[in-house]
Amino acid sequence: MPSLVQFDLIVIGGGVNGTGIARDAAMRGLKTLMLEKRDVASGASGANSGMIHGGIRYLRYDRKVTELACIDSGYIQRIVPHLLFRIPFIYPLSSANPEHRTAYERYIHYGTEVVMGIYDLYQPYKRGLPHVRLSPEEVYDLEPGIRRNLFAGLSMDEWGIDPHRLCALNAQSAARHGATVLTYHQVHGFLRGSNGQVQGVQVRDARTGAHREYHGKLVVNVAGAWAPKVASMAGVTVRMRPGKGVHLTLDRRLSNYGVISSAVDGRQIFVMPHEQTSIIGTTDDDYYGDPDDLRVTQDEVEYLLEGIEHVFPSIREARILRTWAGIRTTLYEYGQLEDALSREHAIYDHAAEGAPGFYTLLGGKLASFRIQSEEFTDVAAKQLGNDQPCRTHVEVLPGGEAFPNVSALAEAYRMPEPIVGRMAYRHGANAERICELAAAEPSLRAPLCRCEQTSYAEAVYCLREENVRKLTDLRRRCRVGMGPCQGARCAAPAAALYARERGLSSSEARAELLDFVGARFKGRRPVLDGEQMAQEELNRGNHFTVGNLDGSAPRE
Amino acid sequence: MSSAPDEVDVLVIGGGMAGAVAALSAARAGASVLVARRALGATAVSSGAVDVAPDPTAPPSDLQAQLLPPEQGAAAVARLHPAHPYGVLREKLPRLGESLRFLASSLPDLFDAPGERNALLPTPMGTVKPSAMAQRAQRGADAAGLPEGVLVVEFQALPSYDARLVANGLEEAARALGRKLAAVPFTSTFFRTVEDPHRPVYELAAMLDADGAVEALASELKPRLPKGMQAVLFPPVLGRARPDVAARLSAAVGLPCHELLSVAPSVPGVRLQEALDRALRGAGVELREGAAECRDLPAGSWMVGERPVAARAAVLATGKFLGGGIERVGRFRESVLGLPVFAGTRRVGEEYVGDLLDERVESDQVAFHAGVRIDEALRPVRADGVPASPSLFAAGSVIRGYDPASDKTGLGVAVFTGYLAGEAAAAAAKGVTARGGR
Repeated sequence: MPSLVQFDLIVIGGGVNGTGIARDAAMRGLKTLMLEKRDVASGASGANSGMIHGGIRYLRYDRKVTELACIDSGYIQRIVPHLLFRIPFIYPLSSANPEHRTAYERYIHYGTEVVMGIYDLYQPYKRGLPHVRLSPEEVYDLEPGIRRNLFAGLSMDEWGIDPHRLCALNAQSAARHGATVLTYHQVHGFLRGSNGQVQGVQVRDARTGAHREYHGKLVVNVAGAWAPKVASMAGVTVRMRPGKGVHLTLDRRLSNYGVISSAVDGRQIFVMPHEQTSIIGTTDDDYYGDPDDLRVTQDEVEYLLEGIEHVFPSIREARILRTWAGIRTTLYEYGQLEDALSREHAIYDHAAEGAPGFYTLLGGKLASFRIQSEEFTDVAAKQLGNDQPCRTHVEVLPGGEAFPNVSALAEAYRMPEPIVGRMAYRHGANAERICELAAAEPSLRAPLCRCEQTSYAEAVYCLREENVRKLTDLRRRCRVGMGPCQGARCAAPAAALYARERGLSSSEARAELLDFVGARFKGRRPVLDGEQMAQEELNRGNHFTVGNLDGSAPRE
Repeated sequence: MSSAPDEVDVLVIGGGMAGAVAALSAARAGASVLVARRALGATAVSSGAVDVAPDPTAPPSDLQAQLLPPEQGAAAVARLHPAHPYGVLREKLPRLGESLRFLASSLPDLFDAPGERNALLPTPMGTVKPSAMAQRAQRGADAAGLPEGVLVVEFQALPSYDARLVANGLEEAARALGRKLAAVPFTSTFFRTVEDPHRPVYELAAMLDADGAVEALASELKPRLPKGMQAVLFPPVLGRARPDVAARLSAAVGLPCHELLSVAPSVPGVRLQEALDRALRGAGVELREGAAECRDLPAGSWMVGERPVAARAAVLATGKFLGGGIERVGRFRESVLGLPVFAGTRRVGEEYVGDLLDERVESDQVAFHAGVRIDEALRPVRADGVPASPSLFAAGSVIRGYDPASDKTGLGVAVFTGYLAGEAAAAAAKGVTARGGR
């Protein structure tokens, strides 16, 4: 079916770059369509460490990447202040014999401090504090769980973020500026002109199976790990060096500081507090498989635990909730170790390859997504004769207008303060709109997900305002089912709420619930152990022994 | 230890469904019984109804096929899955009905004698599930037996139970069964106060236990009943301590009132557990809180909490991961005696857990088959296949060979194996052969 609308720009991919470009382009007045085959932030944009950091690691190879990331981090803080939280890091320096350090250990100490000194120059860009030299006793005071073999410690300042919400807010802002945002729409072909000109895309609606064509003057491929596949549909080649990164999530905050450790191969890994949990990350290994079939293996889990055990001996007793993996879309280079690969981004114009009007943006970092998007949108705007300036660094994302007074809101709307606190973190100034929903319908004040302190009101707000098209999207908006019980209590009530809001039948609700429960389980499977086994038995009891989700009436 | 040990015929370790039925069964056989229990286990968070078996040969979506006699389903499970407890005990399987009737007669407040066929009971997830024996408050909600007009009540104070989803699911199930049924959702503001807009299930159940509460709820509901309603379905909060709340509510409303099956946290599960505890006390069984530790298995020398116990026979009814009978901290381990743990057909220890779990959550999961292997006399065996002790028996989900979330035989296995293990332990304690034994 031909469409009557002609878009200026079609964006393929709903990660941080896709949503970022859609927002920038729409704000400049370009008629923009964003297509994503699943939900926003379903790929690497939702499977990273959740940090807006400057990348001190890259100073060794790529000073420019660090500088760019620090500058853009500052802008991201300005446009979405509620979504960022400070994560101070400790870099412990250990020795087999702290009293008599070897020359090499001294070299590492001073070398690291020199690098941190250089990094301090960039810190003001992102409101970061300069590093501090700590004595072993000071480190043990701050983090008593650290192994007692230190001769010194260094502190470093970084910022965390909820990357799912960052993407969702960019998409929401894009839509408010007139962009069409279609999630669960997969591109499977291109419309071409007589000279090979890319003039649009063929799309399948993954939920209904319906096919459509959309016309656009320019098309940009920001499909991340899927970018080579998308490019090949247009008959052009995009080469990248995909790197698999694995993280583990613990059931609680193990420490107040992020702590850096060395893995068995000398790579730096970390454990850090993130919202209500701690995250351990990350691996970096070349990945040759299908990006749709990304699994975490036993040795990846063991590699991370062994590395953290080095500084946190008690890590083996911690309760690991789940594990997750993403693919870094690093630029192609032969003959380099994974860690040494550049984190730079690149924009490819495929005109020379016979596909004018088609572009790919590849590589880059979460912390520089805004400037990456701006660079591409500059290219597109110029091509389209649009001279509007970029405003994504000055105009705030939804909710970023002001941070609400949590205590005052809690008192005014008689809501528990922890619930309002999480709401304010996730929604900023829009927290008050959620409170108003709860005031109009008091039963919405009840907690839906107790682990993550998500109220029914917040879930209803996300369902109505934040483009939730499957139940699993809800956890990317308000963390439903992400806590220690992993949805044992909240998944079914969330499905019922979703069914009510959308008018779904019982069998449709059941399919959504099974999809949600199944997606969560995939991440638990590689690390199920200890108390989490009992939790899993309870979870299975609720959904299958009682809920009979695998049986019951046929799908109508 | 200075004091002399407490002497008993049978020590039962674990006080959930399997342990309680074992203790009651041993006590009926004339044994003196002590139940050692660390804490509440899986029974207290169960749906409160006893699943024996669906039809394992029919697709689960074939609801008509699920209405078979539960004994027949269990026999099919035994044929298809020789490692399932029903399979290992297939010689004794004709006594399954007897074990269910024994449970019903032991808990006369909660259960009638089991019916001829499985009931299809509505769940809070908008599904129905086959169940052999349900509590009196639950069994009338059978999708194959409900009248044509059903009111499905939800409480504003309990938003996790959604009437619309349940009503819709009941109608779907009825259509699949070729029955006429109209289910109407209804929102009740009963229980709701300005201060507490929502309340946990146990609190609601306790409020309904109070004098006059049932009548107050009925008088709120009665004037609002739509026309044509012939039964009323409630969230599973119809009384905790008083087992007659559903019956009194039915009388006050003038229509039969039933409750849904419950997920955890579960009022019907706790109601079942508390009824089991009452039955144990009534049968003269001593319930002691505390971990059991074996000092000398052949001699029957145990520690329960701080006290030494000399037991002539013992029943291991410690459950799986939730109950604590089986643990996995880096490796699988049976927690009381260190017996070898089996899953599927092999012994399991330190293998990677991911290899024992299918990626699809709804699959039959081998890691959740983990448990001790028993012989046909319910005695747990050592790695070489020889019983660990002639007077040690096992019951319930500590036994390997089935994933109750997948095959829906959970409490049925607990009742059946508990009944037989209790009897066998009493017989072993007396040194005589039990009926049906070898």
